[in-house]
Amino acid sequence: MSYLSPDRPLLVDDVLLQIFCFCDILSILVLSQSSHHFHDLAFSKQVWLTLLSDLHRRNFIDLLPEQHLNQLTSNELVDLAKRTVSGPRSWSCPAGPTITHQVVFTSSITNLEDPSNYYSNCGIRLLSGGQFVLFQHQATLECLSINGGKHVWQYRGSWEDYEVRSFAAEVVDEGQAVIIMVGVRISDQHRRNFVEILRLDLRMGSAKTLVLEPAPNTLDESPFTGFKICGDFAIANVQVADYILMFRLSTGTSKRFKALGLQEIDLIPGHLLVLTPNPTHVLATLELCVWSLDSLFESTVHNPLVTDISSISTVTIDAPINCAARLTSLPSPIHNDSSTLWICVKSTGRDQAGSLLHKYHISHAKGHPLSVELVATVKLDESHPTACYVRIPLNISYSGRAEFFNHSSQQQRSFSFTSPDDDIPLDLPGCGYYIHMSSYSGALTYVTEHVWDERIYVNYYE
Amino acid sequence: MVLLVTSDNEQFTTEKDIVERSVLIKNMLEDVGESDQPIPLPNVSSSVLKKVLEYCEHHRGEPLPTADSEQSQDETRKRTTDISEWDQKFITVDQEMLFEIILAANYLDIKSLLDVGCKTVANMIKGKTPEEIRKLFNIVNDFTPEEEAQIKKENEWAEDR
Repeated sequence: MSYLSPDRPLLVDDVLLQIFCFCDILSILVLSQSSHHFHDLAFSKQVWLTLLSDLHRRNFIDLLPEQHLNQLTSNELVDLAKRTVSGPRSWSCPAGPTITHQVVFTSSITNLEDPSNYYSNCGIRLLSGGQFVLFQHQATLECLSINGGKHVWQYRGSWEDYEVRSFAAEVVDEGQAVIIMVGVRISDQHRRNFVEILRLDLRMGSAKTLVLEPAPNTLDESPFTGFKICGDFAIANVQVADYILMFRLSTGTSKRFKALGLQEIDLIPGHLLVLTPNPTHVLATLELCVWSLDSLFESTVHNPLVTDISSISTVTIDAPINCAARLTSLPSPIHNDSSTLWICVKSTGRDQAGSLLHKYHISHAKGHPLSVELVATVKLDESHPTACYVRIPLNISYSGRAEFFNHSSQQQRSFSFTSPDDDIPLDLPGCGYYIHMSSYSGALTYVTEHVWDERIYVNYYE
Repeated sequence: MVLLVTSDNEQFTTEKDIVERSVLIKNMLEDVGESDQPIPLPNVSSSVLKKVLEYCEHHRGEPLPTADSEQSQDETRKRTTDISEWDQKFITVDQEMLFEIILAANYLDIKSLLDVGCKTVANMIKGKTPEEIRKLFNIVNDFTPEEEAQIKKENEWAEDR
C-alpha cells in the first residue's frame, strides 16, 4: 500500500490537524508528548482556537463583552484553558487576589416598597459565557446585560401574589438563549408551590414557558433546594416534602419521586445523583446513588419511591454522625464525558468534628459503563479556618474553590479544598450575603448591600 | 454515468449524483463538460474506492456543505464526536483501511466522510499513552529524556482532573 511505506507519514498534516480538532484537551496533551512534530501540531493556534471555541459553546468560558477568542494567540488560548481548569491564579499566590476586570452596573430594581426587607430573599448569578446576570429579589427575577446593566427580561408569574424562592439557569444555543427554572411560592393561605421552566431568547428578551407544574404544598416558606438544569433534563429538590421533581424539557413532561431523608441532588449528563444518609448502616455514612434519567422517566409506577428503581451505581461515603452535606457536580473541561464531584460533609453535632471533603471523578461516556472513582479525601479539623464557618458553601468551583462569609472575622473569604491551607481574604466592599462564584472562571458576582446604592459587581481575578 | 479509473487500473462505472459527493470530481466534471472520458484517480486504490462509493451511495441526495457555511464554521465548527449508526458500522474497518479512507476523502474532498474518519481516529486516541499514539501513527519518539520530562511537567495542569 502506497500510504504505508515507511518513508512517508501515515497521514498528512492538514488531516492530522483535523483529527486533533476533534480531540479533547487531555488527548491533545498526550499527543504533544509523542514527538516534536506532533507537539508543534498539537500546540497550533488552529487546534486551541477550536478547543476553546468548543469550551465556550459548552459554557465553560466566561468572556468580557469586548473579548473574542480569535484575537488571542495560541499561548493565550492555552493559558485560558489552564485558568478554566485551575481557577484564578492570584488566589493561590502570596500577594493575594488581583482583580483584572471589574464590571459594575446599577440594578434596575429600584423603588422597593419595603427596603428593610431588601435582603430577605435575594439571589444573583452570572450566566455562563459572562454576558448576562440573573438577579432575583422577592417576586422579581430579572435578566440584565453585563453591557451597562441593560434590562433584558423580567419574570412574570401567572399568580396575583407570589415570591420567587429558587432559580437555576443553563445557557443554550451557543449563548443565544437560556433555560430558566423558577421555583415559586404563592403568598396565600393554601401553601402552594410551583415550578416554571422557561426558554428566554437573550437577543429578543422574550420568554416561552416550557413547563408549569405544581410542586407539593408545604408549610415551609422556602420549599426548594437543589435546582439544576442539564441538557434535556431539570430537577428540583423539595426536601421538606421528601420529593424530587424531574422535568424533561423536549416533551414538557414531569415526574415526581418520593425520596426519604433526602440530602442533596444533582445532575450530570443523562444521570441523576442523590446523596442520602445510609438507611441500613449503623455507623454514620452517606450514600451516593446514580440513576439513569431515561430509566426513571420510563417507570410507570405512580408516585414511586426513587429507591424502587434500581440505581446503576452506589457509593458509600464516610461522614460524621450529625452532618450537613453539599454535593456539586461539574463537567470536566478537558475530558469529554467526565465530571468532577465535590462532596462536602460538615459536622453539625456538638463535637464539631470538622469537615470532610471528598473529590470524585465520574466517567459517563455513552455506551460505556458509568464509573465513580474517589480521587481525594481531605479532613479539615476544628483548628482549621472552615470550622468557624457556620454554613457549608453554596458554590464549589471546578478547581475546588469555595467562598464563605466568616462570621468571626466579618470577612468574605475564598478557601481552597485542594490545598486546605490556602485560605484568602477577599475584599468586596459593601458586599451582601449573596455571592455567586462562577464554576470555572472563578468570577465573583454580587450586589452591594446599601439600598441607596444598589450596584451589581462582577469581578474577574488574575 | 461516470467512469473512474483507480491507481491499480480498475474501472468503476457510477452514477453522476453519487460520485458528485466528491467536490474534486464534481469540479472536474464541470470543467470537462459532457464527455465519456474516464477520470483517473491515481491516489486511490480499487479497494478504497469501493468503500468510498459505498459511502457516497448511502448518503446520495443529502445536502452538500456549501463553501459559504464551511467558511463560517471554520473556527467554531460544532465539535461533536457523535457518529451516526450507519457511518459507525461503515467505518468499522482495520486501521490501514481507515487511514486510506481518510486520505481518499481528503483527496477527493468529501467533507462528511473525512469528518467521520477524523472523529473515529480522535475516539481511538482517547485514553492512549504517548507510546500507544506513536504506534498508531507510525512515528518515532524524537524527544530526549530531558525534553520528555519537560513536556510532561508543562502538561501537569491537566493531570488528575
